[in-house]
Amino acid sequence: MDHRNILDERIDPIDIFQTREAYQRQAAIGSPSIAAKFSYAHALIGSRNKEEVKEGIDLFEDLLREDLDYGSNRDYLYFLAVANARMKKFDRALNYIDVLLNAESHNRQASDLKKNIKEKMRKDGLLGAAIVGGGAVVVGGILAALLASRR
Amino acid sequence: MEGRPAQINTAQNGPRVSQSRRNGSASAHYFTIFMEGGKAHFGIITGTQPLFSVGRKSCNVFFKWSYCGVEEKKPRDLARNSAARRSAAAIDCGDVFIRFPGLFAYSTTFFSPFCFHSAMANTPYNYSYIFKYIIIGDMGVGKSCLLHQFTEKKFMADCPHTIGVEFGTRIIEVSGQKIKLQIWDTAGQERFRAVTRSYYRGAAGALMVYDMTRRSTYNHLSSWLTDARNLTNPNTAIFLIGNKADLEDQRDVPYEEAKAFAEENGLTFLECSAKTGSNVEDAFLETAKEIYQNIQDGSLDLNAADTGVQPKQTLPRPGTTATNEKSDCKC
Repeated sequence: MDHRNILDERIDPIDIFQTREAYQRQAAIGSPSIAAKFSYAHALIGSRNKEEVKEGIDLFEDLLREDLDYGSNRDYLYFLAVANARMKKFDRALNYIDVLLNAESHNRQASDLKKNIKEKMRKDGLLGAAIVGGGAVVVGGILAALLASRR
Repeated sequence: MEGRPAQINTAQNGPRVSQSRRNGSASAHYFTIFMEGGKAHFGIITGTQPLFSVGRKSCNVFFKWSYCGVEEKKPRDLARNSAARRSAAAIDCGDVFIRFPGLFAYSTTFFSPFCFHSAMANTPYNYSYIFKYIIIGDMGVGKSCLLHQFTEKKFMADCPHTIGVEFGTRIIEVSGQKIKLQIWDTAGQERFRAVTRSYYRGAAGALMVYDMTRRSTYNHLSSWLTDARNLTNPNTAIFLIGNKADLEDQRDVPYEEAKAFAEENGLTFLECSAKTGSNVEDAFLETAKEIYQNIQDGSLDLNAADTGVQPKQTLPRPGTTATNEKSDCKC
């Protein structure tokens, strides 16, 4: 329950279920309200299931196009950055947060998120390097063993 | 604050290397505790397994052993070595090294995938409990500023509207017990109402804030209170906070009126100012005291779900009472 930052935060599946119900109910009788779409998208990007996070990103991108109110667009940008970072699409995440930071350079929450994204990016990059490096060690070990056995 | 005796002790003893081996399988893991630059380091020297899984698994094993006292998971040899136990207990964030056989040592500062940082910083290590708080109330009443004042002791002028939710933490002391407050500051805008409701769950304390210079924010309290009552558990300590007490000349809500409202609804009431910092500490501390009192007298059952209180699993470590605060940990 101890969460360090927003990127590690995940949502209770019940929230996804409930917001999905509300969203689909509205979608069945016409176009769903922005509020319903927003709540559903917000729940989706907190999912542990990558497919659902992706669906949430699509919904937020829709919202960004449909909703012309600046006050809510900043929220969409923020959540798009969060969701893309959770999907490890760091370039996109940074693009979104930079748009927000361009408009609100003093927004501490946004600059904190940017820091978090960069941190996660660094960790992931190093993890990749570690796997490659680990592979190299293993391959090196096998080669050494082969050489040794041939002698 | 008793300092970090274990670390200092081992550091005084000079470089010490203790090695142990967990045997049983062909791919043995080596656990190493070594001193470097006066600091204790924990290292794993892996055998033939893929680095990733070995690193992760071993980290967990170690970490559980040293912090949570899950006895059965500790590497047996290491546990018998009391010096190793002590230096292990003193390991700090950023001091953890991962070592590969005959290769090089990685500092976790640079090598985060194997890093215990977040795990360590998240561990109930320095404190007895974690209390989860939420801050709720209309937009612009100063929720984020209150949090900022409490965690950073600074006033944030022109703070933009919070998006979704923000987190803050601080370790405080109640009746000699260290308690980590984990505070969730929610967005006050109406469109976040549905979204932030999911954060109410499992809060041990709720600070319900209104702006004493804007009556409308006070008038909305009953709806915030309904949410707080419905979405948290019955033991949640709900506090009523009248913010912006520095603007006495613009006061729009009399103290007595809010006090009466609080008494009617069984809330504790305080007026404070995020700008000057007056009463801000008290708001958070009094809430913690109330929660702690509930734990002491048994009205808050720690075994129940979603109490918002997470106790530390205490296992007395020989010669150490680690109470050092590492709130500004770089991880």
